Amino acid sequence: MSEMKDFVYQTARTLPVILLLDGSGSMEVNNRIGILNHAVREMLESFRKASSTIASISVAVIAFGGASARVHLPMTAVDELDLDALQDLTAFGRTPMGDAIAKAKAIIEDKAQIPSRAFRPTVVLVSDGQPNDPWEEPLRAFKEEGRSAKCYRMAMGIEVPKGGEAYEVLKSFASDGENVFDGADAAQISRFFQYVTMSTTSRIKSANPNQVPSMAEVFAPPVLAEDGGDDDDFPF
Amino acid sequence: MTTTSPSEKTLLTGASVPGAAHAAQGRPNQDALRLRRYGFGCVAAAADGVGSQRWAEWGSRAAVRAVHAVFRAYARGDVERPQITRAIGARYAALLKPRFRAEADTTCIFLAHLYNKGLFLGQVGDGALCGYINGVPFSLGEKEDGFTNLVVPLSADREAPATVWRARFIPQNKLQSVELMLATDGVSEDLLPGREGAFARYLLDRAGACRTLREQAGAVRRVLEAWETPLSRDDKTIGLYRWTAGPGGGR
Repeated sequence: MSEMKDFVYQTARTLPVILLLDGSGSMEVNNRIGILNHAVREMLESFRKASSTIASISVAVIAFGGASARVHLPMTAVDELDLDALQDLTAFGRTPMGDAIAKAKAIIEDKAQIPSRAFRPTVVLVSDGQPNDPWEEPLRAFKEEGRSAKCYRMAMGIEVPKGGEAYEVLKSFASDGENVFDGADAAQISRFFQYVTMSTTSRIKSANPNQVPSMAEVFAPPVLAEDGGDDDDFPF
Repeated sequence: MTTTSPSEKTLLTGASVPGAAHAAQGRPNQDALRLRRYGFGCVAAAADGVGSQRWAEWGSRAAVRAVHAVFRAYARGDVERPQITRAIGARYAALLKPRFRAEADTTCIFLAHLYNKGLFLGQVGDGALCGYINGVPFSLGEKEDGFTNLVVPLSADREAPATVWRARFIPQNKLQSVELMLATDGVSEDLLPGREGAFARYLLDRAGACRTLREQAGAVRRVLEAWETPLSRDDKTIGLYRWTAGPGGGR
């Protein structure tokens, strides 16, 4: 069917995942940065295994610490990712979360990095504290304007007290109705990234990868097949 | 998918195949396709049930049945032209038993060529209706980003937002030729930008080279079953229609 190459894409659609990771000085406390680096690597390894057999996942990592955010990993297909060469994040300085959100938006609006036929991107924000830079306007623009408005957003607070100002920032980032995940310890941080992994891999297995499953759906036990039911169970 | 007796001037064919994702889940094809020639003309309808909903495959079947029922009614004079899309929505809802209505949302794409009136085109949700009309490239909707295209499907759920149809009507006296393809998003999302019409023509030519209706449908089916975009796991449906005015116009 070689004529088909004139009409259809010869490459798979991708599911982009963008991580916004706190690399501020406070992430040194209790080795939060080490736990985060480990959890992210495990997730990327799982993505690579799933991506080669089911669909294409691409990942970008934006780290925010110091005076500004930086693109730690540009948007990269995970099967092209050299995990050995990928450097761990280090923790230093302040929390420029607003700049990270703005840089994430720039990636999402760039059709060279995320083409039109990509599936709905997932954007994951992880932080242990409040932003130190202007963040309200970058967040408003992210949530309300352009392609970024359609992304699915998740947030995890690492040892962030519920109801505090830092928690409220994370809550305002998360997609409507989504909770802020509580990264109280290493196990919880790992579980959150397992959720990101499993929700991403379940999306690429499904017929509708734009639909994002909840944490309850991802970790739900398998449902046994129903028995026959009554004869009136026919939709027409 | 076969139709009634062939005509030298018209071609009406298509096929629908389940995607790898549903096959792996043990779920049926959630797309539906219905093609018929009637005394008054030809009607083609394709639909894609909203995958997250429990009765998705029934919603799509109800939608394509509704399209055909409404155009039969319109041809009889029982439905007014401005009421066609509303009537399709009502008929689709009526086909579903009440307790299934909340979880049977679907997209819907149709073309209906009534020889004494003209060409009716309609679409709700994603997918494509494209090709050539009178030799000029045609597409019913603009293709947006795959993930930013807010799909408001046809819904029988009373709480759902109002259905917004894209629709066109071209009177018969303005038609010289029609070459159109209906495709659900399992096909349309993989088409190269700007090549949709050419793809429609390519398929029409392949099907048109076949001698029988069964062979025509088989030609379309083979394209869908050997789909070349890697890891494209959604159900795939294509309907094709070609018509050319005879000497002096008309059928």
